[in-house]
Amino acid sequence: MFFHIEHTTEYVYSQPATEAFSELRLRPRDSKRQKVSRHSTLIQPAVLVESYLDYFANYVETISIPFRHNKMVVTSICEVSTYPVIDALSGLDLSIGEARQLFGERRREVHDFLRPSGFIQFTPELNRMARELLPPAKSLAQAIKDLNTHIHTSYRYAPGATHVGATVTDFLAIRKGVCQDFAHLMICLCRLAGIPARYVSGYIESESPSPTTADKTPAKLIGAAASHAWVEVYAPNHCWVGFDPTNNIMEGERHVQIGIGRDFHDVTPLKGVFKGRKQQSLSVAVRVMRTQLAPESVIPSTS
Amino acid sequence: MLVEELPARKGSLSEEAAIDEVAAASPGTRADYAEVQRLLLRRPKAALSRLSSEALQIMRELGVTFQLYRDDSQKDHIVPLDLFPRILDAAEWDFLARGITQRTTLWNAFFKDIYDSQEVLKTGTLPFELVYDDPHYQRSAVGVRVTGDVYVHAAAYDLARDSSGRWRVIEDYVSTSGGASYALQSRHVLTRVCPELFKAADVAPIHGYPTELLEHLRRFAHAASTEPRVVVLSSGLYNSAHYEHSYLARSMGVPLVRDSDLIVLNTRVFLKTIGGLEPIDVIFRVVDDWALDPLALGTDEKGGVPGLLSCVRKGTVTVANAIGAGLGNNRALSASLARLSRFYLNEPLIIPTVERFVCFDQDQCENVLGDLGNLCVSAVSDRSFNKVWRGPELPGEELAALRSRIMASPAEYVAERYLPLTMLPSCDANGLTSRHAGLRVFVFGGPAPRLYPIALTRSAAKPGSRIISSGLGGELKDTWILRAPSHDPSPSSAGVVSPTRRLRLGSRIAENLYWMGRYAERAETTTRIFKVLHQIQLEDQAVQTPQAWAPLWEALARATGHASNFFKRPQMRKGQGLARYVLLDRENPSSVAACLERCRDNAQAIRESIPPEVWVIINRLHQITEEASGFPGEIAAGPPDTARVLEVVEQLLNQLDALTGSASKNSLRDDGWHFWSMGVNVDRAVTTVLVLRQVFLKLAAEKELKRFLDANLDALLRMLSCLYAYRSLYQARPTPQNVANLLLQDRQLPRSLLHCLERISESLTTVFGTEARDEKASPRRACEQLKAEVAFTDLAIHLATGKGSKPARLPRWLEEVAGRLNGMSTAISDHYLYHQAINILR
Repeated sequence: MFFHIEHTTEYVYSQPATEAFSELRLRPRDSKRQKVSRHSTLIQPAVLVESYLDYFANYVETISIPFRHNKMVVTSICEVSTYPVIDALSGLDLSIGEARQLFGERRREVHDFLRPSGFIQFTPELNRMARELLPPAKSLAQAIKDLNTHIHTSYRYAPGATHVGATVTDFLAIRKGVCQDFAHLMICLCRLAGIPARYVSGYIESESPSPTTADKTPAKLIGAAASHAWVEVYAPNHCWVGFDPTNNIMEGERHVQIGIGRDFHDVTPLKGVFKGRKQQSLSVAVRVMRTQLAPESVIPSTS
Repeated sequence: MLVEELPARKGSLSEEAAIDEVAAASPGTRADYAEVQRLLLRRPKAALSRLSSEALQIMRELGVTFQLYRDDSQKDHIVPLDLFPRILDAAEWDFLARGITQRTTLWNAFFKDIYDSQEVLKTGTLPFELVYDDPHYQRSAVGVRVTGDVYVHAAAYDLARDSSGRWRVIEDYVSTSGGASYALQSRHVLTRVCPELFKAADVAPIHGYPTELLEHLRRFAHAASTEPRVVVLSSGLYNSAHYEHSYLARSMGVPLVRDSDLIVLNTRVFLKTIGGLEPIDVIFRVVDDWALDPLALGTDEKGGVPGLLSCVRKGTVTVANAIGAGLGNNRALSASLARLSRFYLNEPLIIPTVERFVCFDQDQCENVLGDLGNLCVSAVSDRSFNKVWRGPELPGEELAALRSRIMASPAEYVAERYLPLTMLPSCDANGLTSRHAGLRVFVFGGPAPRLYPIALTRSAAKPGSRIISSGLGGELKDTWILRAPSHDPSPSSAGVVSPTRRLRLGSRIAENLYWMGRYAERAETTTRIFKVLHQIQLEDQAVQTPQAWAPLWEALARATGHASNFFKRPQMRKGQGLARYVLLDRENPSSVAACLERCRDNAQAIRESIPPEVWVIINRLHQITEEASGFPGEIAAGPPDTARVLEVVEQLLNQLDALTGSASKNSLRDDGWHFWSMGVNVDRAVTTVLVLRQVFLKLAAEKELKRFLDANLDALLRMLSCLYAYRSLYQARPTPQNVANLLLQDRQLPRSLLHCLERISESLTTVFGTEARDEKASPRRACEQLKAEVAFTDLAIHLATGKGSKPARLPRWLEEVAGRLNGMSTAISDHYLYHQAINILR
């Protein structure tokens, strides 16, 4: 599928801010499952944009606004082709316990995705849940799919219920939240069961143009107004397999990945500091549009 | 394994006994020690203790301070100096030099690997968990190339001998390394107090250390910088070693900056100065990694220089030591250095780390848990003083708690059998007694690390104590490294280019001075106004009710920024609580106490930049308001005791006069002084204009004009300290026209608007010159325009009442003038302090 995506973030300060510095993680990554053919970032007020690849190979842009300004608008426009994703997990006939043995040889590489991180702290309660939902004897493929469904059905999607800094424990307490909370919970339980799991930030096409889609996902999916978040689980055949607990589906062609990390903190779309009064209002608008026309040429951004 | 390389030792040593340094020294050194001992002990005991207190006194004068960790008072503690030096001969020093330079090379090789391809982890030479689970491992620094692949530019190591006499490293400081300035000051003080001691031996001089450190740092500037500019980045006054940082910066001759003094622009780091943005090439940081870049390194930490890591990545700035070197705080890693030495250097470690159990390792952890009561446990990478637990000193329940913490997360802990310190004599009331002491050495890193012959010896304050940390009350000793022909001469300074242009005053310091001036001036005006009103009230009590003064009070209160509804409150109407509100109420942002508090805050933030005499007075002023607030029933609450109020007022005015005098007597007439002076004059001008405006507004509204005029204009002149000036000039009772002329246009009256504007104009011209950037919005241009207008305005026109008793235009004109004064103040801030108009220096 081919998407044209526009993502606009607007900060309005109650008092003019000085010396703002921001890091943007907005450009989708290139991988086997998706290719970015065009990407541009527009900043208002106009300033220079620098870029680099971070520790998790996410594309990062930095901007510095060293003068007084009342608002900052960041617009990221990209064109991305996504390809069908092969389900690398279903075919595996392995229990969780067996899979854990196989992860061993890649222990160093997946270490970060097995440990707690800022948003994902291990607690006795979560440990109990992990033991119950992901017992070592259960089939890995089935357990992960069941977990995806379990989280989807047991927690309510409620925008505004949690704040951006909510941890897994906060989410458990009120049992409702947004895609970020769903993803953090699933990652946490996988890690506690010894299954490497990582956080994916990206976009999702929430309204399908056709009522039935090729990958049999419902036409309407959650995650339209802002960027989306889901989970990747490490399979013993060294593939990362995507699950979207908010929508109870596997990652498919309608998902566009921006970046991956240990949790939200590693892939926050827009992270910044500024000098000024601490009041600001933030508005985010995301439009994911499927275009019938395939891009003329799909060029990986590396060339 | 390398014992044979050590100098020969005498005396039998039991397993537990700490080595006596004097007994263990080489014969030559022992003779030097004997001579030092003879020179010290030939004096009577009283003379010796007099010398000790003299040394303490000099340390106090020099301000050699350290904040005690367990002290909540935040007071700086004077670090005492013991007169008996430690002596290390050339052979010993050469051995240490080989061991320490090897260790530094090793650390550098380790960082280069970890922040690049991580071979040591891939090969399993080192368990990856030790690195990946350490919060000091900076993922965002991985793949970032640093200048010359140098991570450790300057390091320090704590050393001691084990019971067999072998040197061991007990702590590695490869991220930030403190203490050299204490060593410099120890030498300085000892040469002053006991100069004769130095005849005993040929001691290597150490005074060149700061300059050599600076030259060393300059070598690591990126290739594009022709005149490398170095700054010392510290976390500011509240760091326990602030003294050390400011001393080091001062003796290197480079600015001591804080994060907010630096700004990143187009992937380049700049220092904000009043002359513009100055590009910075090398940042010698004395702060931790997380305080360097809040976005790239911190977890939503405040502070830091956002974008700094981007600049390092682009190679436009060198951070020394490199970002990520905080990983070297990890005590489990330093325990693995022998293994790393074989891996990276293919040679044995010359000076081993102290015997240390790493609880990450299951076997070692069991050993630790089995012998906990005899071990010293510490956090693996948290260097806080309260993250150390000495088994033998712990009560049973604390030991049990420690045990369960270790069992819950073993990787967080390491343990040592004991703190191997050596014994050295210290002077005390009984002559000489033997105390525990530790050694710290300082090394310059890089392709060929070099041990500079400076060392810090810290010793316990009491016999038997093993506490030597300055933060816990330990003492200092001078350390003598004896000269030998084989000592490395300093590398030549050829190729090190010094900046040709002088650095201008830092914007933060200028800003603090400016606001110190403004707040001191406002406090003085408010106090003076209060005093006169209070006196007038007392003088006229017989004929007038307090309410007769309400209009003037209200006018002045408004002009000096007090809440205008304040005087409508019932207790004010009765004349109660006024003194408290105006003088002491810290809730009232315009009160004298609040102004003085902000004046002091500004002064404290830049204490190293203001004369000590000025600081003393600012502190005293603050104390006066504190003490006055502490008298319940007097000023603080209830009806005021008139005598006590006047006493406080007099004290305040005396000290405020002293402040003005001291500032003008003790300050260099440099850029900083001009910023202070601009603050004073801007505030004075604003107050004069606003007070006058309020009085003339009242005047227009008053029905009984005549009575109001006589009394109020007279009082107004008294309050602004202009009565005598008025009388000598006009020799008549005050009239509105004359008062306005005097306060606005008299060039000789310090209080007048024109006088203030002329002083501001002078300061701006002196600091910035006449032509410099006189664009449309420049402060100088705003000042000159206003000055001309004030000088040549015919006030009679503004004072004339229009047809049909239309009120005079003066208040409106004054309001406009006040607006322009504030605009000028904003322009000063924007241009020189906040750099809203970007001007990059090249």
